[in-house]
Amino acid sequence: MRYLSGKSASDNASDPHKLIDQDITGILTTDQANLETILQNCSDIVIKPFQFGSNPPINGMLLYFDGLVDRQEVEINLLKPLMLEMDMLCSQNGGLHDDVLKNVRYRILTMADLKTVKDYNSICHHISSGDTVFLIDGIKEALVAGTRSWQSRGVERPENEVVVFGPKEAFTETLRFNTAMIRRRVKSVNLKMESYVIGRVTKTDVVLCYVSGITPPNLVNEVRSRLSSIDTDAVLDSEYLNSFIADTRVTIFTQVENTEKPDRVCGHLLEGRMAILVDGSPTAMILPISFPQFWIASEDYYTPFIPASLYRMGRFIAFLMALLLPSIYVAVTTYHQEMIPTALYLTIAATRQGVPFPIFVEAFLMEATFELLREAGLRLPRAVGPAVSIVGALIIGDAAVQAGLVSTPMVVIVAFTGIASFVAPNYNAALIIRIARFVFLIAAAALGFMGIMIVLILMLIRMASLSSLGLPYLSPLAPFNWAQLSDIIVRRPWYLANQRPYMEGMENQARQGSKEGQE
Amino acid sequence: MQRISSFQIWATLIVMTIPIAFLEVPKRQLEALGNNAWIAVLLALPFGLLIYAMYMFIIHRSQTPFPAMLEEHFGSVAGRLLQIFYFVMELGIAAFGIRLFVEFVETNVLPGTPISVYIVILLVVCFSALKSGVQTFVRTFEIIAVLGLPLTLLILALGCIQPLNPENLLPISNIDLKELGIATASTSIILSRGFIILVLGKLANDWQGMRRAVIGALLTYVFLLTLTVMLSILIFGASTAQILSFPTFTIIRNIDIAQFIQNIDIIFIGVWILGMFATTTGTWFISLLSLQQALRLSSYRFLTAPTALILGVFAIAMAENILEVHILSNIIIPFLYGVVLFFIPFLMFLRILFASTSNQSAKSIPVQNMD
Repeated sequence: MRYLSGKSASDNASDPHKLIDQDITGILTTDQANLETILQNCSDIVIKPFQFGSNPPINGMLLYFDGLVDRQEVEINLLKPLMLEMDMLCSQNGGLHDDVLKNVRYRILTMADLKTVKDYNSICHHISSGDTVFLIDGIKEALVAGTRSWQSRGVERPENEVVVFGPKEAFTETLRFNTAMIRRRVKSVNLKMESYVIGRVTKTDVVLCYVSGITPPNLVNEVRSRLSSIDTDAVLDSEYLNSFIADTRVTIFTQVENTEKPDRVCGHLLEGRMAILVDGSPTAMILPISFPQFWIASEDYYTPFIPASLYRMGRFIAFLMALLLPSIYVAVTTYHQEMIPTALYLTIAATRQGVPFPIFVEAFLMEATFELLREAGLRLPRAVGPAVSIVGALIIGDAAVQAGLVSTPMVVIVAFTGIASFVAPNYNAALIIRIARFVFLIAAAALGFMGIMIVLILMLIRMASLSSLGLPYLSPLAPFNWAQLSDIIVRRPWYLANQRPYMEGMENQARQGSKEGQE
Repeated sequence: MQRISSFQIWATLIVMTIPIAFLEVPKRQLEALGNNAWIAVLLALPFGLLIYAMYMFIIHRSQTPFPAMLEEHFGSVAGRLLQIFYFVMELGIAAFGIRLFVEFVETNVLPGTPISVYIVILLVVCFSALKSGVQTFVRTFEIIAVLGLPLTLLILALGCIQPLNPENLLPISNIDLKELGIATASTSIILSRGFIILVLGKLANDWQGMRRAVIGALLTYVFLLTLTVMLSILIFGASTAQILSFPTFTIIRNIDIAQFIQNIDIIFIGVWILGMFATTTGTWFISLLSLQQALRLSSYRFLTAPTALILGVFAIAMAENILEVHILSNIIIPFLYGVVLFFIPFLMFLRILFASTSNQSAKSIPVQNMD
């Protein structure tokens, strides 16, 4: 059969894809050859064969990727003990005799993070993650030492969730820093962080965080099952996972919340939600989430409850303005002019003298231009981005009015809408508004207020049909729950927030004022 | 099968009764009773209580939800024939609701647009709700009730700050009892659109809560309609109010705050459109469930598309013009409501009261999947 298939045993031996699934042979020269084949063309691999011990000396080999490990730690905590202290041990005992690996692991190496693996695949995964692998001649296992260290961005201020009060730390691209930032805030053994490796090629480390005893176990099991079933080549950001674990995949309404603030993640964890952290991504993904949650800023909890509640209500009004203001203007000026007081209508009519476009086209052009400027402001280098967008908005707006292409009230409406849309504390929520606004605009141009209402109903139907891990997307508005809704409309003072938001299957809803909630 | 909360029952009853009542009730009562029209609306409270008590009794004593309960109480053959009857009649009621709404929009909001455009738009919206399932549209009803009711109350409160003349309500003694009876019946019969609780009642997760929800919906209906009718009389006087086509909307059109906020009837119409969507969806849903049960189908959702066509054609063909729609509204529709939403359930009520239904026979009836 081998002849028929046209492949020989030596072909298999040189095929890296087949070799990687094999176990360690225990013959160091063979293992080295196999690993060199598997890692061929990887110029950053470091393979260091050496001898340690005496009577007789033992052959060993270290393996790591340059740039991913702390070299000093490799030299001081791995090579030095092996090559010096091993000699002392051997001379005291007259050699190592047997169980070399056990002696190395428990008597020689001082590092805490040590484990053993038995196959090439695990070796490759660990060295790709920044660990150092130590192979010993005659032993069919390899020792893995945690030596991860690479150049990374330090903890900085959040860029998209700017706050005046409260913690100002943001996640970084390094998973361990991120988990540490969460653990530092929730000092409980009930804070669980389950690890997954997802991505056939990228083998990305993913961590599922939740607080055991608060998060409903059925939800944890559901997320575990969804994460385990992901089969993809690459996970480069948490958003990659979103499309796999969302209840409904084709929708503009995101069913998870992305945040770059560890304190916000902790707040959600303590309300029974879960967070998913992905190595290489500076944002955490929170689920389950409902749409009204997007309008709650973390800062609400760091300011006294009365101003926080007023700001929150203002945010809801801003949401409606950002969504509906241009379409209401188009509907009123096109179809329902009787609503506008005569003096105001005459002013609007006067400013529209000479404008060649219908109001809808005018609004659509202005909105599209505003979106372009905003997008350009985000993508341009930081030094020039804000300047370009401000200058662009001022100059283009003024020039368009001067040229008689748009009317002044339209500039005011678009500017108001733009400002209102910046009030959204969550970028995904703002994105939903930006897309939906254009749909409302078209509907208003076609059917006036009736069109707006029709699109509103369609939007409500769509949102009501969605869920995030089974949690209705519009809860606590629908299904209606006044106790929770009141906590969303206003920020309840802490002394009254005795209960966590209800989730089906939650074991411990008492947040305070009850012994039940204590660990 | 998913459960429905008491609040969802309340919201469903609100959206099934109040939007259509705003259009039909004030005009009818004012024409019949003049300055005493509000008394007829108040008197709808005890009658409404009786209607809802009957529905609750039927739900309590039935083992299956509507329309399977028709088979449970009238036998398999009669029950299935009645299910077909309900399919046609509820479709007719839904078509009438659409046509009434479209005629209103055509004459008051956007004249000049072909009615078929509005019909298609409304059907698309209701279709989308029905295809999404009962949980979805009941949640949408909740939001409509939560948003619509405060807005309606606000608008009516604004109506209250207009110049009101309490003398317009007098004299109370001058009541024609026959007219009072007819007016009360016509107000009460709208409440029988709450018939949908026969379908949803079995899904309710709290019986006591459902009773509170039903009473709450009834009180809300009576309060809003009484306020509307009284405002019409207080603002315009009975003789003027009687000749208005849609008194509710005239009250709102009359609101003027600081000579700046004026002609805000379109906002109320916007809220009312939300309600009309809910009314049509609910009625269409009952129709689809009836057909699903009669034909023993596994789901009602795939029936939505073909029935949408029937509904659209029916809505266009049922009347030539707005006059015919008004004739239908005054003569045919109250009769239809009476038979479909009151008389047949009343027969069911009597049958439960005086004849026993075996548990075994109820268990053998396959209950439709509502999800």
